[in-house]
Parts: sequence; C-alpha cells; structure tokens
Amino acid sequence: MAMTDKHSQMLDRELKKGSAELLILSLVEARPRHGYEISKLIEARSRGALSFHVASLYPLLYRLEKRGWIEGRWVEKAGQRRRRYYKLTKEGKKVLAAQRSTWQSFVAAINRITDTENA
Amino acid sequence: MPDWKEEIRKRLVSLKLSPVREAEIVEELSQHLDDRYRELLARGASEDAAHRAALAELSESRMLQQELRRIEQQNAPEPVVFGSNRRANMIADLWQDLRYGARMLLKQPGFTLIVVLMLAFGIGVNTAMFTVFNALVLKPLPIKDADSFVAVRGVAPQPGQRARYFFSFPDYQDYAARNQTFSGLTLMSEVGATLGIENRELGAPREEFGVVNCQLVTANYFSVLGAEMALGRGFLPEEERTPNTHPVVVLSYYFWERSLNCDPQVIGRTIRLSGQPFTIVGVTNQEFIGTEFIRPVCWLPLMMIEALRPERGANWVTDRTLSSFYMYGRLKPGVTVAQAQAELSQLTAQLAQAHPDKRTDKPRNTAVQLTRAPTFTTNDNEDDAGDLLLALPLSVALVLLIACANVANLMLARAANRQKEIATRLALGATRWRIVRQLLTESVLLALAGGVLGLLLAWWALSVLYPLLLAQVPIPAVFRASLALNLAPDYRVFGFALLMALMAGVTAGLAPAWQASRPNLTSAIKGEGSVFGEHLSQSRLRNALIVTQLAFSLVLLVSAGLLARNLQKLQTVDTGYETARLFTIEADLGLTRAAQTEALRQQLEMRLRALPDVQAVSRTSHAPLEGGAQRAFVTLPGHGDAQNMPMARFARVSSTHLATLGVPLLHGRNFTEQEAASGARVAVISAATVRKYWPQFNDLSQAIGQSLSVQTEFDEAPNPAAFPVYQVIGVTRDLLTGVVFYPDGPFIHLPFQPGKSGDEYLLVRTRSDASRVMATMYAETAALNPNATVAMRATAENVDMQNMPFRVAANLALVLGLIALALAAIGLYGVMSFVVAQRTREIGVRVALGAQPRSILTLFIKQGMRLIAVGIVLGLLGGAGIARLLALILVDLSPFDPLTFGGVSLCLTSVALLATWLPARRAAKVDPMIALRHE
Repeated sequence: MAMTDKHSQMLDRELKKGSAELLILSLVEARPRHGYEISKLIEARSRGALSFHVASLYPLLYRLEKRGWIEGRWVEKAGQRRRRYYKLTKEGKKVLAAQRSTWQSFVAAINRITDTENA
Repeated sequence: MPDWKEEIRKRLVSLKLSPVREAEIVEELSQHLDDRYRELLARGASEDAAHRAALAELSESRMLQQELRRIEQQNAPEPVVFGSNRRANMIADLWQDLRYGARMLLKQPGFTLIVVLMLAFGIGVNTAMFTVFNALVLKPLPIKDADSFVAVRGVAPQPGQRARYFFSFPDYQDYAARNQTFSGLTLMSEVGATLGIENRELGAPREEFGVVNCQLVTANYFSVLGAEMALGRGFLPEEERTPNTHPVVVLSYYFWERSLNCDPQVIGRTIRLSGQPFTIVGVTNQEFIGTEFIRPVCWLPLMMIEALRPERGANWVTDRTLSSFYMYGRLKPGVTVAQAQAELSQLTAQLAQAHPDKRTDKPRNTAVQLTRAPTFTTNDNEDDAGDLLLALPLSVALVLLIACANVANLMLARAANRQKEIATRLALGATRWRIVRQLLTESVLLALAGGVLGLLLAWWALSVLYPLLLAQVPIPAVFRASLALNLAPDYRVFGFALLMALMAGVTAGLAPAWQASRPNLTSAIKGEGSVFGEHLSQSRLRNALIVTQLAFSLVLLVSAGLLARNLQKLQTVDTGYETARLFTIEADLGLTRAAQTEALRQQLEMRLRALPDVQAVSRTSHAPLEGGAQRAFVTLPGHGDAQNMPMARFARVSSTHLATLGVPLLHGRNFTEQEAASGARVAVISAATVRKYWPQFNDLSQAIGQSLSVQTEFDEAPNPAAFPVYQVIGVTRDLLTGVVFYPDGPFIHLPFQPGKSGDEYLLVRTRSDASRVMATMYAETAALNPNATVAMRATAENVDMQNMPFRVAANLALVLGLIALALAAIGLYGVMSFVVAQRTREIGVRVALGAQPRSILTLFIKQGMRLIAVGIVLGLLGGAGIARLLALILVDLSPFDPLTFGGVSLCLTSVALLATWLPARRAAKVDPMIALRHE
C-alpha cells in the first residue's frame, strides 16, 4: 500500500468500497484480463495511489461474477500456466454505463462545491 | 518457487467450500502470488524479501475469509459425499438424487425398461379412461363465452323426492317473460326422425339416412348459445308463434359436410323428416355442436314438434305437466349465477303456487339449480347407472396397482442387490431418511418415465384404436360421425397422468426403500446377507406384494369371466322366435297425410307379399327388439285401484303377426283378419300374463275365454270401470320383444286397426338374406310414393346393437384381466427367480448333503403354492365384491356363478404354477460345486 498513515488508509478503504466495482468493470471493458493484470493496472494507472491486495481483489471479482456482471474463464496459452480471465458480460456493460454516469455527476458535483470554495 | 497453495488453503479451510471450488480459488490466488513474487525478484529483491512481500498480500486474511464466506456460501452445492449426514439444501439434494438415480437406472437398462413399460401400461389405461371421463364430464361445452352460459335444472321441493329436471313450454314462457337476469332463455328437446334427401338430378332415387337425431329448439336458441352460421340464418321469432306452420330446418355442419359434400346451394332445398318436407334455411358453422355429445343432424323450430312426435298431441303448448324440455340461458353482463338462480327459483316457486300439479307423486319443483359452463353430462340424471359406473375405474385402478406391486417387487430385488452400496452409505453416516429419499427419487423417476410413456400410450389408443373399434360397432355411419367427444388431451389429462405417475412412484417405491434402508451393516458389507435364508421381513413384504398381485388379477379375471359368460348367454338367449331373416319397414308421409300414409302402407304390404323372397308380412305397432313396447293399464274387469293401476306391455298387430314372427300358439286361437278390421275386442296373451293375472290357474289353457280390461290411452286418473274389456282367445309362450337382456313381462297382442296408430311398422320375414330384400325396398317405396320417407332395420342388427355394450364391457374386462394376469405371472416368476438366485448357496449345501433334485423342486413349488393359495382366497373375496357391482348387467347369471369363479381360479393357478415351476426347475438343477463357489 502506498499511503502509510492510518488516516489515509481509512480514506482509501472508503473510497475503494464505493468505486472498486467501477474500477474493475472499466478495466475489463476493453478486453478480458486476469486478476493480477487488473491489480497491476489499478496500481499503475492510479500512479500508486490505489492498490488491491489478493484478500480484497478476489472476493470482489467473485462477487461481480456471482452477480453476472463479469464472467471468469480459465484460458490456457501455449507455454504458460492456465489463467482465469474475466470479461464484461452484457449485463455488466449496462451496470458499468450506469455507474460511470453516476460517478461523473458525483465528481462534477464535488468539484463544483470545492471549486466555489476556492474561487 | 515457493508453494503458496498450502498457505492459501489454510486460510480457506474454515469456509468448507466444495472441493472443486476450493481448488479453483487456490489455483487462482497462488498464481497471483507467483506473479507478484516474480515481479519482485525481477526488480532486484532478494528471494526472502520477495517471499515476505508476496505473503503480505494475504495479510488481511480475515477479510478474505469474511468476504468469501459471504459470496461463496450463498448457494454452495453439497459435495458429492453420500455418507453426508448434515442438514443440507433440499433442492441441491434432490438434484443430486435425481442425477444419481438417473445414472443408476441407465446402468440397468433392462430393469428400467421393464419397470417403465409396466408402469406405462398401468398409467396408460387409467389415463385413457380418464380422458373419456374428462371429455364427457369435466370439459365445458365448446360454447362461446361459456362463463355466462348456464344450464337450468329443477330441484325437488324436498330431499329424497325425484326432481323434474325438465321444463314445460308454458313455464318457459313465464320464465322468459318475467326474469330480469337473463339476456335469453332457450328450450331444447331431442327427437329421432327418419330422414330423406332429394337428389338434385331428376329421376335419381332419394337418399335415405334412416333414423337420425334432431333437436327441437326455441327460435332464440342459436343466439343464446352464440352459434354462428356457415350458411343462411338461424330461426326467426315468427317461426315460434304458431304450431306446425314453419317447416324450416338448420343443418349441422358435420352432416352438411359428410352427406351433402358442403354443397353451397343447399339453402332453400327440401329434406324430409318423418315424411314431412322441411326447407333448409341455414347451416351452423363447424365449431358449433350444441349441448349433446351425440350431435344432431339438424335443428327444427320447437313449434314443429308434432310433425315428429305426433303422439304428443297439441296441448304441449299450454299443458304445464308436459315438462320434457332442457332449458339453457345466457346471463346478462354482470349478473352472477347466484343472482340468476335466486330469481329463477323465486319464479319457480310462484309458478308452483299459481299452477299446482294434481299428481301427488310428482310434486312441482319449487327451485332451480344453475350450472355455469355446463358439460355434456350436466343435465343427465345421475342415478341411472349407479354402482355399475364404479366397476370400470376400479378395474383399471387395479391394473395400475398390480403394476405397482410388480415394480415394488422388482425394486425390492434390486435393492437387495444394492445392499452393499446402501450399507456403505449408511456406514459413512447417511441417515435412513436420506437413503429412503434417494430410493424414492429413483422410483418416482421411473414412474414419471412410465407416466410420459403411458400418456403417449393412452393418446395412441384413443386416436388410433378408438376409431378402429368404433368402426366395428354396427351403427349407421351418420350416427358414428355424430359423436362429438373431444378426446384431445388437455391440462386435466396431463395433470392426471402426472398425479398417477407420482402416486405410482411413491406407492411402488416406499416400502422397498424403507426395507432396503435397514440392512444389517456388517453382514451386508461382507456380502453374507444371502446365506441360509434372508431377512424375514423382506421376504414377507415380497410375499405380501405377490399375494396382492395375484388377488387383484383374480378380481379382474372374475369380472372378465362373468362378463364373457354374460355375453355368451345373451348371444344365445332364446327370444322365442328367429331373429335372422326378419326386418321392419317404417314408411311415412307425415302427420298431415294420415290417409295417404295408410294407403302407402297397404300398397307396400301387398307389394312385399308378391316378392318371391318374402315369406310373410305383418303390421305391428312395435318393432321387435327396438326397446320395450308401449304399456297399457291392464286389470281384471271390476278390479284395480286408480292410484296403483297394474300395467302390461302391449302391441297392436295384424292377424299374420305371430306367423311372421314364427311363434306358435300354446292354447286357443289367433284372431282373424275380419276381427282385426272390425276392431273386435279379443286378445292373445303371453304365458307371463296368465301367471300374473290368474296365479291360481294350474294350466295356461284355463285363461282362454277369460276377460281383461285394457286401457291403452294414458290417463292421469284411470277409471277401470270405463276400460274396454277384451276376451282372451289365445296364449303364446313368453317372448323377448323389447330388449334381449330383460324379459317382457306380461305381454298382450291386440288386433291391429288399420290407420288408427301413429308409429307403425311392417314386419317382414324373408326366405333368404334379409339385406337383399331391404336393398330393393327403398326403390319400391319411392316408386309407390316419391314423397315417402323410409327407414328399415334388420332385427338381427337390433340384437347386435343391444349386445354391443355387453360385448364392449366383456372385451374391455378381458383385456384388463389378461394384462393383469400377465403382470402377476411376470411378478411371480421374477420373485421366484430371485429367491432361487439368493438361495443358490443354500441349495448347493443341501444337494451336497444329499438332497434330491426332486425335493428341491418340491421345496420351491410348495413355497409358490402357498402364495398362490392365499392370493386366490383373497382374490375370490374381492371378486365377489366386484361381482356385486356387476350384478346390474348380468342377465340370467348369478353374480357368484361357480363356473366363472372356478374357471378363473383354475386359470390363474395354472399360470402361476408355471411361473413358479420354471425357476424351481432351475433350482433343482443347481450343481453343488458351482453353487458353493457362488460369491
């Protein structure tokens, strides 16, 4: 975890709780990815601000799978161990679109508030 | 590379995931850790540091467990461990049982096939019967908006009194005028009439259809029932105003299609019904069949009733005691059945008060009962057939029970072979209930397969066999086509088959499952269960099942035997005259031309006498074997009580009648042609008449010269003093002239007065085959008068018709009985084979110790015989029970006919002995060396 102090750890968890689903759904939107790849991408794209452990990532993946938003499948590639790839389902696409617009209006609202304070 | 799997598994163990799921998660997570580890190494970390960092990923393992528990255990399937003893998900269990059961059944295709076939037979016959019952009794009539359509029937003022189900025309008029709840009320009455249709081409003979079924209806009938016309119109209000003025007819679609080839030009053409011309004004559309399962050929205005039923006279329009019409109604929108019933009942009570009936034995109804969406049988009298109707469903249910007993026995044998498997599961901790459920699932699975097959079997029997059987019945094609029974299966039939299958599955599976789930664990696992006798209780259950089967099949065989004997008696019944080479002609010109009709009949009689093939001709008011003759009040002069006047059947016959029938007089003389023509009051009576009116006479001849008062006109208050007195001049033996299965009772032949009676027949005795003469007579009649309608019937055909229900019943019972016998024999054979197989080692020991093959054979035959004997005793008792139900249709045959009971017992014993002997012989041939090596 990048942030170390207790305060930021809490913030991290709260933020993750709300947004983690959105993050994962967006990451598997373009193409199927496996768990490790997803965790690396989150870490890389947030420039280390966000990171998921095994203990938090996989339960989330299984939950999304159970809801039918993503679908995991074992894929064997030549010369590699088999890996479980997750892809977005039809239903997942709808959920993603909805969550995305909610998130954007949420961010926009937050921005408007914080910007006026600063202005 | 470190192995992460153990670490991960440790953290998952408390979740109790299914092994498959756990392996998946372990693999996925360990891969993740691998990736992490490699990446750290690549970045230059030491192996030790990388290992620690990777493991740190699992640091929040409590969270991992919590989250996974929430997600994974929502619907975790039970692991496939048969010893499982904990309470688990019922649905998952059921699914597992089903799959396991299906696998086990497919492993033994022979067993599965036999069981499914047996159950299919049992369920099939039951479903077929239910389909017919459904079509008759449960399916609503195919009438538009059936929910607002009601059948109306009377309710007796007091319980126990016979209700008048029918209504009179004046009552109907009052109901129709005074009710507020119906948009229409209508009357219907069924009537038979001879039908002839002119061919279009001039000179071609008219086509005759014999007696057909017609319905007389009020003018609003078609609109109340919501019928649509394929051609033309229904009846007009003016066609219901005055009697006998509007001879119009609406044809039924099926008749128009079959007999008129859908001729679109048919409107305006004339058909003849009982000699009277009727103009065709409409044809109903295909869907409309009316309310009776024998569809009418046509509908006529009620006002034309006298043309077809002249004996009813003209006062039906005003007489409230002449209640003989079915009433139906269409409720106004929004009116409930209860409201309408209350209103009509109130009207009924008012009518009963305003117009009381003088007859004390038939009080007027004071209420009505309405039935919404009626079926074919709504308006029938329930109490006609009584217990007899029970015999059939009881018999077919027995077949299913026998099949179930058979299946139960096979399951029991199979469970015995699976004792090891069951014992292992019990030893591993499965509860008994769990095992019972597994075995029950298997039997229900079998029964469901049997049910599906049975449904197909029933459907096949009804759609393929039924028309074939129907075609064998000696009835005119028009009549056969008129049967409107819709035997297509509907949700009720499917539901019934499903129910039967479930019940059969549980019935056949419960006892074996219960038995099989309590084996002695140690001996069963060691394979010792079959040494020197087996579980006593198991063999007891098996024996009980076999005895039940034998008893049930004997019950069915008894009814088959009784019905077969009954049919045989009917076919050889002595009517007192020869029925072959005898036929009747009904020739008619309609009511309005009585004189011309009489002339036609005389001409026909003369014409017939001139034919070389004709031996004798007579005229009679009663055609032989077309149902009971009319009845008259008959009493000794000066005797008789007006309230309780004795009655006897009679016929008015010409002087040649007895000679035409071929019946000699026992005593006295026949009347002469002159006596007949002058209306002399002389009578020839039957022996039964003498016995009834002069029981004191030792000799029938003493009746000659005696007098009898005979009143042939029905009178509500008969006055014996005013009855015409007839002198007995001759006595005949007792004849059967009404129905073959019931004696005529006292019968009186009165001289026939030409032109005086409505219904009348020419009776013809031919020298050779009657059908040849009959074929020529249509043309002969048309030549005499082209307007006449003619119906002819061979008396032998009437006998066939009367015997038909008995033949059907006998054949049905025979088929059921044979199926039952075959099932019971298979069952007995199976059980004895099983017993022999189970005791092979024992037999080996016995033979090794010096037992002779003969004594081995006797041992098993004795065991079989005991079962057979008990089965037969119980079966005879059950047979006596079913015989009591059948007694109603047994003619001159005791329901406890010893020949039948003895015969079927013997038959069952021989078949059962054979089924025992075959496996017993195998036992006797056992080679001790091989037997002792067995297992």
